[in-house]
Amino acid sequence: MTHEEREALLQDAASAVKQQVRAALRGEGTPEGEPPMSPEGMASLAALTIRLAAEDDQAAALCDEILVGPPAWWAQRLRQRGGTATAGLVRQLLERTRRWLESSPASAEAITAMAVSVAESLDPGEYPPPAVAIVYGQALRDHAYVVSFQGRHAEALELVARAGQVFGTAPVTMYERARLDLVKALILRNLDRAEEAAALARAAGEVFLRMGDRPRFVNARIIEGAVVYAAGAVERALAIWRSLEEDPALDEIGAIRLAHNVGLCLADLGQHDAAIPYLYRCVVQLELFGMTTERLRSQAVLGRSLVAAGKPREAIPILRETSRAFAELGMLVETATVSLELIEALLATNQPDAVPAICREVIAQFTRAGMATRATAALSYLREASALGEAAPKLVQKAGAALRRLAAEL
Amino acid sequence: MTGAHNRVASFGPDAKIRSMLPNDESGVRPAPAGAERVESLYRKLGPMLRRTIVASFAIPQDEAEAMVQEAFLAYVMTSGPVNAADWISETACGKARKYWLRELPADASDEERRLLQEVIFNQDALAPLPPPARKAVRLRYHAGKTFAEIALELKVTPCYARKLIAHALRRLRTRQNEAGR
Repeated sequence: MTHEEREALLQDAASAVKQQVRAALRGEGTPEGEPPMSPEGMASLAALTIRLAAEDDQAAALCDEILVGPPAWWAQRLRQRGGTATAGLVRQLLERTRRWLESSPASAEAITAMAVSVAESLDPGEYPPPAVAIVYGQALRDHAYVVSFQGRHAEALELVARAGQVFGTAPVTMYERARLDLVKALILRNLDRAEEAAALARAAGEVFLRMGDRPRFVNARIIEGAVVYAAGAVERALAIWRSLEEDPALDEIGAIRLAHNVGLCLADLGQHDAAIPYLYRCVVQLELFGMTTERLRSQAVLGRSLVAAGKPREAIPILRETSRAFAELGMLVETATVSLELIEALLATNQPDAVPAICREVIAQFTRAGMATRATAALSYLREASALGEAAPKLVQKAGAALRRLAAEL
Repeated sequence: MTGAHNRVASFGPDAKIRSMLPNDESGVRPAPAGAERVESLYRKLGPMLRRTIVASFAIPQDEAEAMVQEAFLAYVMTSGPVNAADWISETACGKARKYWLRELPADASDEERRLLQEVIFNQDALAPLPPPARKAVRLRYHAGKTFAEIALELKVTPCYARKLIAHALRRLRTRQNEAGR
């Protein structure tokens, strides 16, 4: 029997176990007189759950005390509170990471670094066998994620490898390793290792599905779609994302993100009439949720699709508002990209008078931000357009291409 | 973090606008359930899971119990499962798969490999064997031990361990043939 054949047989056996367990939990076929689990096992489990609950409570209070003021003080404060290193503290620190990640990635990194340090100091003899390995691996994994979030992908990959080694010392960590694989997929995606990343995300999704975590399965598939999309395989990404549209595990915001991605793919494929309803829906719903940046991204694609679908008049107010809002958020490349779409729409509707002012504003924004050198090519086309007093479509297109190249470098 | 924020992808080479991604690949959620809930689940799910693992994977009861126990401990430590029964069952089965996916002894013959294929997962196939032979077969094919190691564990000579297993395999072969008629 080959390894693969044995694996297939074992997979069948696992499916049979789960079916029988589900049936038994529904009250079908529960055998009478099943001997109970050993009292030692019960005691060990009870001791761990009670201990973790107590540790979590203490750690939550400790985190409230420590994580205030400048992040540079946090580690020192923790060191001053000797004897507080527990698995619960690691868990609570990782829990707090989420609150900081978007607003202050550097603070989030300070927290995950503390979590790794605490996890390293845990005594494995203090907890039942898989506990310390699991919590240590989790800390390394989340630290990798935060480090990668800040663009330090090589360092993040090293942390992923360390987390893999730690999980490898514990026999029941397939779920944690699948989550680690998903983090690795996100990192590899940024390193242009798309196929590897897509395969990892897909495999992780299969594990989540087997383990009854459908929301994470959906997330893994969305990430797989993003990986192949970023690699230029738009049709493949569209197929992946469309397969999730009716998934019951999608929450409201997940469904909006998915709609944006589907609309984006349709727009890229030139199917603008199909993309527009998706994108309108996203804009309205993201507005309701107060997710401004995401709404602007959807609006930008919507404006582009409206222009391409021959509806430039409808696009102009949308693009104008999107460009202004991106500028207010300081998102320079996005502002410039949308401004160019706006110029195209204005030219398509015979309104060239406003174009030079828009060109001058884009140039001024890049100059103020100290990025004029990096955007030299794009800005030279815009200067030429501005000097002519009207923007020729070819110049606008060349500027757009140069800006997109710049965006890819940033 | 689910749904709370959005991480956006970095620009692809030609991507004008970023795709949107979920952003909950960090952060450990608190223990999925309180101590009482976990204990109640253990009392209810534990025995039936142990039984089904024994039946489906042909794994001795004490080993199956250890697998279930470990799966529950991991469940308490894990980071956000949603379906406890599926999660714990799959984790325990993962351990059971590893039990069987150990490499066969390097010196295993083709006959041994073929027989293993026929008796794998079949608890009944091993049941008629005398206890020492059953144990020897398990040590050989489940634990991947050499004849010398089996001899040490059974407190017999290596030569006798080899004979014990050969006899067990002959008996299994006879039963297979009878069942095939």
